[in-house]
This record gives sequence, C-alpha cells and structure tokens, in this order.
Amino acid sequence: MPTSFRMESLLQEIQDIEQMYSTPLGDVPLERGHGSVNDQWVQEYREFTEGEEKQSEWIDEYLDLAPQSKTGELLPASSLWAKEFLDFSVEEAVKDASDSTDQTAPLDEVIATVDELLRTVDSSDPKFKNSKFIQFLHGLRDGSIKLAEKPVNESDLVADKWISEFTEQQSSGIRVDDEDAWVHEYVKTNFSDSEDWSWEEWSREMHAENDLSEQWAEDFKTNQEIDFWENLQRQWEDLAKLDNPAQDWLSQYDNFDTSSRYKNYVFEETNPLLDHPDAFKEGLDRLSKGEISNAVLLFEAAVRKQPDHEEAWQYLGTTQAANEQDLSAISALLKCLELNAGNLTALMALAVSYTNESLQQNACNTLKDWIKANPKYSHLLSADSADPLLSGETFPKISSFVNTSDYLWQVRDIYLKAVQSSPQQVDPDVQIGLGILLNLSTDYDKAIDCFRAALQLKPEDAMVWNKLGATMSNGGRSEEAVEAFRHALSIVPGYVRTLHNLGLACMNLGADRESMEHFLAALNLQKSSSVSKGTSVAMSDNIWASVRTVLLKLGRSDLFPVCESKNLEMLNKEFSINV
Amino acid sequence: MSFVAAFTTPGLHGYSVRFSPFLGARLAVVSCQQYGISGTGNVLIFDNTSSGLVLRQSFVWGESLFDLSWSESNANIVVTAGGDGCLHLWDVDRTPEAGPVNVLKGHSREVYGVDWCLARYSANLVLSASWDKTVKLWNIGDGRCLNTFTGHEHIVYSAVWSPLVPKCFASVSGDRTIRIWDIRKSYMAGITLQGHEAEILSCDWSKYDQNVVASAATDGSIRVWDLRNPRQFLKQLSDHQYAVRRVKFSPFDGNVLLSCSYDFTVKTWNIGAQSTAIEVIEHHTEFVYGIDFNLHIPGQIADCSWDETVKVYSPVSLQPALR
Repeated sequence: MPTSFRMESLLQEIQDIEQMYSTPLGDVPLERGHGSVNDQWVQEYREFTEGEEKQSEWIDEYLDLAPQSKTGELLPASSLWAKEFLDFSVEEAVKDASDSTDQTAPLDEVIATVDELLRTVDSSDPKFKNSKFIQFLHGLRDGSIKLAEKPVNESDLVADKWISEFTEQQSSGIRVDDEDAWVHEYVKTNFSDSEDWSWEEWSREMHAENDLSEQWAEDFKTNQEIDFWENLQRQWEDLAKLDNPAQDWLSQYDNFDTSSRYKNYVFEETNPLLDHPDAFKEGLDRLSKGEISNAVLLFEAAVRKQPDHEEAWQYLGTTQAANEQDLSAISALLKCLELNAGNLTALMALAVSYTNESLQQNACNTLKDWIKANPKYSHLLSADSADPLLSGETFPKISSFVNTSDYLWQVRDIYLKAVQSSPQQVDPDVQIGLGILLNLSTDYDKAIDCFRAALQLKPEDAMVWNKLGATMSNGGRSEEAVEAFRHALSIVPGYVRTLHNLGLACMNLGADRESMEHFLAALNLQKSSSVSKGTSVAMSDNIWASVRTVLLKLGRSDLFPVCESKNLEMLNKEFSINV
Repeated sequence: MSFVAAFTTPGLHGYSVRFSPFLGARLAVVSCQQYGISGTGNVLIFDNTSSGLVLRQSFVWGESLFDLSWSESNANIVVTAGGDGCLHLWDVDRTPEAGPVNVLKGHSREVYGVDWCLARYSANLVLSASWDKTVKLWNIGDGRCLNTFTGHEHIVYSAVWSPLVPKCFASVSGDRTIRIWDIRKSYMAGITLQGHEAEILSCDWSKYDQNVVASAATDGSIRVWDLRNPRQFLKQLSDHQYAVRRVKFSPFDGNVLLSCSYDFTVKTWNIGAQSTAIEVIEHHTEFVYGIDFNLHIPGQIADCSWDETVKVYSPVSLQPALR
C-alpha cells in the first residue's frame, strides 16, 4: 500500500507555523535543549530516520514519537517530528534574533515542509501530474505563490467581535426571542427518556463540578443505554471464555430471530368478502383474472375460516407479495410452512420476500431449505456431513454480516451444482433460486440469464417476468426493465408490485411524471378492492414512500400533507388520473 | 449514471457537504481558499432545483472551515468547525454581513469535525473533534461546553453520534484508534479499538445495527467492526489507492457504504455481497473531501472536492432495489 501524503499533517504544520508568528512568545521549556546542540541533534536524528530501528531514549525525550510503520522506520512526513523541530528552531531563532518580526524564516520552514511532502508524492501517478493542488504546492515551494497574509490575531479578533456583539444583544434583550424560538423548541425525542432525564439538571451539575461521581451518573441511565453497555460487557466476557474467539464468537449468540417478528399474520380489519361461501376457489378465480387485491381478501377469508388450510396460506403469501406487502407475505408463508415444511412454492416465495426485506441471511437459509426439501436435489446437501452448511444445519441467525457473503457464495454453489446435476433439462425453479442468489451478490447480468432461462419454460409466469425486470433495473438496465414489466402486466393486469416497479424504473430514467402515474395506478388498484366504500384498505407503505420521493423530484413538496394523509383522491385529481 | 448537477466555486476547495435533514433539495458546503492551508472559509447553501444547483446564501469567515452539521431542530441553522478552534452558528436567513449567530470558543487547536445530535432533547447537543486531542460536547442553546473527552493521544479527526444508542458517540484519531464514548464519562472511552495501522480520518455508525461501526484510514483501508468483538474487524475494504477521507453508511440499506478519497474517487460498497467496490465514480480532478446521502431522495448523494466543485447525483448502485 503506497504511503499517502499526510495531508492533515501538512495543514497542521503550516498552521502551526503561521500561528507561531501571530502569537506572542510563549514560555519555552528550556529542558528541550540548548541552542548550541541544535544542529548536531538534528544531524544525528536525520541519521536515525534512514532506517535505523533502535531509538535512543534521549531522542524519545525530545520527540513525541510519531506512529511508526511496521518496519520501525519513522514515516517520512512525520508531522510531529517536523512540528517539534520547527517549534524548537523557531523559538531559538526568535530568541537569538533581535528583530522578532523577521518574516523570511518561517517561510523557509513552510517551504521545507512542503518540500518534504512533495517528495512523498508518487509523481509517476498521472493523477498528481495534473493536480492543481500539487501545482499549488510547487508554487509555494518556489515562492511564486504566497499564502494569504493574516494580520496578528485576526481570527481571535473576529471571534471576539461576534461574541461580544452576541452577549451585548443578549443582555439588551434584542435577540433573546430569536434564540428562544429555536433553542427552546421542545421536539419529542426518539428516545423515551426525555421525561426521566433532566438535561438542565445535568448540565448544571456539569458546570458545578468537573468530576462526575459514578453513582450519580448511574442514576441517569435509561434502560436502552444499560442494555447497550451491559450487553457489550456480557459479550466480551463470553468472548474471553471461548477457546477460539476469532472463529467461534459469531455462532455463540442468536439474537436476530426473525420468526418471532412475523409470527402473527395481521388481517385486514374490515373484509367485505369475509363471508364468501367458497372463498378459496373464488380467490383463485380472481387471481387468474389478475385481480390481486380482491384475491388477497378472499384468501384471508379462507384461512380465517380454516386456519389449517395449507394451500390457502400459500396463496395468501404469494398474492400478498404481488400486492407489494412483503411483511404480510412472510407471515402467511411461515404459517404455510408450519403446516408443511416441505412446501417448495412457499419456500421459494419466502426467499424472495426475505431478499426484498434485506434479510439476506434468512433468504439464504430458506433457499438451502428448498434444496433440502426437494427430492431431486436434497442429496447435494448430505454429501459432506462434516461441513455444517452442507449437512443441512441451519446457519446460526446472526445480525452481523461477517460471513454473509461467504455463506451466500456457498449456497450459490449448491444451486450451481443443482443446475449441473441435470444438464439436459433446465429446472426453472432452480434457475429462479440461483437468480435470487445472484441478485444478492449484485451479479445482475448473470441473474438476468437465470430468469430468462426460467422463462423459456414458464413463459406465462408473471412473477418471473417481474423478477427479471427488477433485476434489470437493479443492474442499471432500466429501459429493458420497462419491457419486462409490461410483459408481466399483460399477464396479470392487477399486478400491484409490477406497477410500483415500473414507476421506480421510470424514476431512474428521469420520467418522473410517468412514474407518478404508475404509483397512483398501483394505489388505486389496492384501494379498489374494497367492495363497499369506506373500508380501510391496506395500501402499501412502500408505494406511498415512493410517491413522496417523486413529489419532491417534481418540485411538489406542497403536496406532502396530502401524501401524509394518504389522500389518494386528491392526488388523482392533481395528476389527472381517472379511476 | 443519471444526471449530475454540478456547481463550481472558483478559488474555493470543498471540505465537507451535508444535506439538510429538513429539506430534500437543500445542502450546505464548507469550502476554503488555498486548500484550507490559509485564507478564508466559506459556508455555501445550495438548493437543488430543476435547473441545477442554485447558490441560495453564502457566508465568509476569516479562518478555514473544515466541517459542518445542520441543526436537527431548526431548518435554518448550520454549525461549522474552524481552524480558529471555534464552532460557529449560522442562520441561512441572515444576511452575510450579519455574520454568525454565535461563536463557541473552547478548543485550543483547530476543530476538524462537528456533529449535531439526532436525538432531540430539550438541549441541542453538538460534538466537536479537535486537533487538541479532545472531543467536546456543547449545549448549543447557551453555548456552553458540557464536557471534554480526553484519552486520544493524537489529533481527533472526527466524532459522530450513534443514531441508535442514546448519549453515545464514536471518535477517530491520528492515534489509530476508534473510541466509543458514553457522554457522561469524560475521562475515558467505553471501548477503544486498535483500528488501523495508519491514522484514522473518518468513522460512521450503521443505521440498522447499533453494534456496527465503519472506519477509514490514511492507508486507504476501510474497516467494518462489530463492537461485541472489538479485537477483530468484520470486513476490510481495500480498493482505495490513497487515504480515505470519509466513510458513510447508507440510511436505506444496512449493507451499503459510501466512501471518498484522496485518490479522487467516490466508491460504493455492499458488504453483504462482496469486499470490492460495487461502483467507482471518478468525476473529480482533486481530492474528494466530502460526501453525504440525501435522506429524502433514496439513492441521491452529494460530494465536494478540492477541485472547486460540488456535485449532486444518483449512482446506479445506490438506487432503491426493485422487488
């Protein structure tokens, strides 16, 4: 790794030099050394920097040693060395010279520092050849550029001026109102402790005494903070007990159990289709007609009547996903899998929804479960029982991502093996699973190939057309994505998710107005599923968030309140949408 | 990549850029004469309109300005960190001649980093990171320094509030450590990570996992840490050729990071997918010193560089994923 120039060090040094000349002499600690040995000391020190590993103690005394590189060499543009040297020689020069306003000496030091810095720059790198900053440094070095002159203590003066004005105004009462307005705005905090914890008290205490007694500090801790620090403490203690902390620590805890979060499916409050005599069948019928939102209500009715209806839960899950409601989809699919852990359709759909919710770990686990549950490929897992991944154990659910990309690649390799296991016949579902994995690893072009392969065998599968379009868009191929989405919509006209995606693709292409039309179309579909007006229908939050973003891009932030209140009718009017 | 809105600030070299937390079309930049080595510091307020970036207001200060942060309680207020060792408060609506609303003195050296607390208590809290090796906590309302955090053995480059853990912040320093602090304990950090083999210029917290922190160093390395195991980094991202000036976690995706560097590039990363950069944006001709995510427009970012330009754009790799 090439040594980069220590920009901050340069700034520091130069500012130090300048400040030295604008501030009066400070006390010089005489222990630093005597004038007469100055040059000799520097000479000896220079020898040391040529790669000598040992440093004598007396040098340590003179220097705060700058951080060393691994070989023990002091890094070339060691700021502290330069700083100390400059401090020292400057004080000496001023002490010796009768004229303390000699301006040429400090400039020499700046030049020396700049020179040092320029020598560390890799001049063969074309970037720096043309860099105006490097040219600026050259200019400083050869004197053609002068640093802006600063009058003595100017910044102090300026600062003092404002402070005195401020305090004047404050005491005269002019600005108090302004200050009150924003300072005393009492906005509700994100943390629940605003009532328990008094800032005024605490800050008063802070100024009364510098030292906080620990007991007193303890009193102000809230639960959230106690959890954070104490939890950390516990983790470190557990870590210390492990034999192989580097390897094992991650598998020690399992604090990211998502299944509890999605345990309960949240039903639509008022379901006008609740009492339909044959809800499941009707749901399938509506689905075939592309009426996603109505199908959702019917499948909900079906599972409410018959909670162990595995297929109804499955359809509820996949349809909710199509309805742009991944959280509901996950709940429904988990319920389905409770009834039948080997439901391949549910497993694949669940993996997709997990991916959408950025639950990468869960997505990988589910895709592995799909392999395990699939009689065609389950043998691929039991091949190597030593490897916990291959033997089919569920990878510990952890919230850190240290192994996620490794795990991702491992699951992907299993799917590749699955593809290879039947080279003559393409299995569309394996292709879909692989496509999801490649999406996760941002290999969009390869993922597109997989979905295309799946579509060869399932040309009327709107879900796959949608996934193809989404992948294209994520990979920056937004125009092609639009084509894929239109194809999906021709199969399922009420495909809410695809309409949302189409809107997002349009935004990427800069067609903001058109994207709004698609978002509103999606929302209108969701709302229209209420047979009788006035029922609260769950419109997707994702879509409303997208509406807000495009309002901002269109310069219509005046419509934010309309968006907040989810007033679809008003937006339809504004954008001339006929429902 | 789609359209890039750019603004040139002749003679001024950008040090930091931040989007307003209140207005998705507003951003502030601090920019210095003579690369911040000498000369004035400038606060520039831009609005991103349909006809590009428009300069709405600007303020000049006699000293270099190195960092800025928007108020979380008032859409008009910006705080800047300066070479004069002070923090300065600016009101966007005031005229430039009126100068800052307030100037807070306290540090004995340059202030290189400033961060306004996201949590809204009855007091507005701000952190300042200084070359005097300390971090200070300020109550902006009365301008008082509430606490001074000592422990770093070299200049402190940055101090950043945790977005998820109350009263907690991270700081990084030339002493090569990352320190995590509880604001009530000023004499010692709660955790010290021996972060890198080089000076650490920047750090940021994950917005999704309270234990995860990223840091960036002068040797070009970015490391991601889980505080539950402070001894060992989770991931190392080494693509940058020269020092990484700033690193930020995405507010939209817990796996996504953004970095800018002395190698003139901006890079996007997805640590759930791979350890090499997803996208490299190379549209600057000098060091890129500032980057920020727009909270209101997912996928939109801004950057500023010593090449006298500020740019706002939407990299492909940061666009919200379609489902």
